[in-house]
Amino acid sequence: MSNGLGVALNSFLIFAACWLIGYFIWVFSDKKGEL
Amino acid sequence: MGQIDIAFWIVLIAYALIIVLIGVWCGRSNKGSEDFLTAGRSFGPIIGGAGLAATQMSAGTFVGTLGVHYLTGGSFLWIWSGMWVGWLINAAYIGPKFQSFNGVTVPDYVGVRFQSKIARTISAVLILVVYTVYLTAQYQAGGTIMQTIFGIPFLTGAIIITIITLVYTMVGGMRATTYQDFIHVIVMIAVIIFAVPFLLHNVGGTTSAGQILTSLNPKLTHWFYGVKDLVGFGAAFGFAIAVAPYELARMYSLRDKRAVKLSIGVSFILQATVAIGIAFAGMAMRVIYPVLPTPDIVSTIMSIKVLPPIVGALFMVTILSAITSTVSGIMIVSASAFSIDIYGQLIRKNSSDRELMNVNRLAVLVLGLIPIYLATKKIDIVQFVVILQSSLTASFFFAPVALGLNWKRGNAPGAIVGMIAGFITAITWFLNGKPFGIEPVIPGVLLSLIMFIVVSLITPKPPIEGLTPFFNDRGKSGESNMMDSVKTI
Repeated sequence: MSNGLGVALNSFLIFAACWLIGYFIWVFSDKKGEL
Repeated sequence: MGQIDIAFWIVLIAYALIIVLIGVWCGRSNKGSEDFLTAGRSFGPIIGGAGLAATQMSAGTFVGTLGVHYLTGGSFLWIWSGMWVGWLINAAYIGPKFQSFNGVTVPDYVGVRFQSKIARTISAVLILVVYTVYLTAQYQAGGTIMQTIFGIPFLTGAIIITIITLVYTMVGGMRATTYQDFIHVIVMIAVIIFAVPFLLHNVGGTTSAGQILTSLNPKLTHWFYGVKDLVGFGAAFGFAIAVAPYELARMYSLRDKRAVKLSIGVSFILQATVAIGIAFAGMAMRVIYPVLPTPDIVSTIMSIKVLPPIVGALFMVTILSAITSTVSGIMIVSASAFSIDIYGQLIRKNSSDRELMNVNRLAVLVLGLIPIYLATKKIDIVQFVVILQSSLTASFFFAPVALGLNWKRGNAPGAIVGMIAGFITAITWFLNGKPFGIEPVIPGVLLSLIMFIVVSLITPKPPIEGLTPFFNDRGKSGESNMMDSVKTI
């Protein structure tokens, strides 16, 4: 995921990917809740 | 800049026609004021998620944030992380409870939870004040765009944008606004997907662009903003988005709790795509035009001078639709705060549904026109006006919503003192030039939370009627009781 636009932007790309995956894992693993 | 390609006109007119038709079609199917404000509580995750994302991504995003990336490089992207923490708090502790509460306006929640008309009225008034600031930012962006494209005076541009939005909001309500948001989001994403590769190709790829940006200012490719700045901005957005009245009002239009969590997930995907796209776009524009007079015109210049005509025209429509979708979302909340929470509760208690609808439409008109005057004053660049409204919203509303929904001991005196203390602290902090470089949201939310807790603890426990809807499971009979209590508070 690296490009020439610098560390601030590249680190955010990795963060965003992890966040999205983590969120949907949390939502779909909620057994006792609303899903 | 007066040379506008014919493509722009075709796209703009086609878009305006579609939006107006949706407004008229939805307006005809609205059944009374509750349906007007909640769209029959029928939306699922895709339409709902698009609505949440479109309301949040305003002129602040397509004009303001893009301009800040132009000015400062990639580090500003990290403010989205603060916003997403706010969304996570919303998904875990606020949104699902709000949806199942089945209210109509946001102050409905305050009235029912704290069993207090005073608390309800204060929240309605503060929403009106803060959203006047937010509308100012939207009009400022709209006026700047119209001025840049057509060369018409700023004020005329702002008025044209306002009238278009007011008309479709007054006619169509929440249903029209949400369907229009869905179309806005599709256009936004399509434009980002076409525009970003085109821009990167134009600047010779990311490696070449990175080298040029570094030679302009090494901070553009590193950390222009440090941790303290980003935490401050992120907190302003994060605390605000967790409890933003214009997003909470959307929760009423979703069909169930499952739809709330999935809608927030869908909105994350949309937000991430747009966030990253506009960061690339802002940085590419800095390479192409290293010196522009104000960052607020970067997106307009990009549309009419850099992108191919159709994509440029669609990007312009995206910006205008981001403005109109946010304005209409805000209008619905602030007009209903006036018509239902102030007029219907205090001025004429026995007003009919038809009367409330008419007052609501009049309120949309009046509340939509006031910020035009403020926009001509140009308080700050668009992005920082948006951050100010976020700070104010969070400062008066985070404690009564986040704690009120999750802490049984919270009561009306705590909510009233907490809201007023948070608002006054944030506005004082802002007017005193943000002492120590700290964003107003930090002291605002902190003091509001402390006052809410302390005052609640030293005053009597809240009545059980206000706790039942939010802390106990209830069946269908409970829901009908809930609607009764909404109407009587």
